[in-house]
Amino acid sequence: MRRWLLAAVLVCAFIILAAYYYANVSYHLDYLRESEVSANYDASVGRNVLISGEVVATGAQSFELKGEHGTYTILSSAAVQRGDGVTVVGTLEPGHQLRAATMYASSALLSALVYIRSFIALIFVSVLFFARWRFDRRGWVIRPRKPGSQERDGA
Amino acid sequence: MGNKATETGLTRAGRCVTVDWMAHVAFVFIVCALLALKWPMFGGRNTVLVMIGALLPDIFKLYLPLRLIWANAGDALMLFHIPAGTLLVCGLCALLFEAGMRKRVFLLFAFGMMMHYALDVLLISVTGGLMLLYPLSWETWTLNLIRPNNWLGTTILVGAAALVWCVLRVWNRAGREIADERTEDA
Repeated sequence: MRRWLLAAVLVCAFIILAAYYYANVSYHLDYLRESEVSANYDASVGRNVLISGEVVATGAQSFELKGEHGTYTILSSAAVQRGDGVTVVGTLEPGHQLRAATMYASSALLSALVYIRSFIALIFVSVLFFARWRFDRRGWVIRPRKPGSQERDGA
Repeated sequence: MGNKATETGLTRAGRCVTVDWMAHVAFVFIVCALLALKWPMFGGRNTVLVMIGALLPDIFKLYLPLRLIWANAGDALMLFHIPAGTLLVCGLCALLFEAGMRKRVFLLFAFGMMMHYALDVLLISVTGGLMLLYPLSWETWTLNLIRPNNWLGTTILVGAAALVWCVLRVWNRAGREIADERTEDA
């Protein structure tokens, strides 16, 4: 009973902190996000904004970045390729243009490799966990597979 | 400005930068293997608890599949990747374990969580880095040392983890043989 009460308290605390974050985060950022830009583009012109998306076209001094709410022309001489994932912070200009201040570009292959490596790690940790711990459905608790080996763990 | 920008890096999901899970797991393994030489509680079956603790902050990455149905889940889930929120999750997960070991499991999860942020804070970030003190402060921190999506860093960590594992196996086998010889002599 005490366990479920404690769990409920922790869940409530988490929800309160998450809600406070969700409600206030935009006031504490030193840039606007794409959703805020798309909600009121004209008011965002001249301000710092952050856009993430995929490169859909490249040019000599600019490239086209497709975000969640639209496509932006990024004024930058950075070498990017079509399909790259790009996050850029810069000054918003009229006509869906953004003058880049700082930027990160990552190829689709590198991004995919991150997910593949992470998936392999997840499988590894899952196998390791269930080799040493088991879930007891009757008590809804996780127990060691070999209770006698506690002294090895310093317990 | 553009050329300089290409030298700057970040991986962004909401406001935070991330390392892949293989690097986190390898880093935890190395640290726990070394700590277990002095404090056995970091070894054996407890190492995997620290590894899980190191992955808990990245529950927020659920925003990636959720993005397909709900665009702004990043902000809603971001608390998972903030130490205060991760600590609450560590507490919840520890409650899943049997009564006598919950405190120890919580501490191991929390240690793994610290390992996670220790790696993440090294990463280069354009947007400011990690919000380590929320809800006390909205300040963000980063050391801007390593590019995210860095396969080389992961390779080095995995290689080091494999080396540590091999050395410890040889070390333990040698120690066991010496102990057996002493028993036979006695």
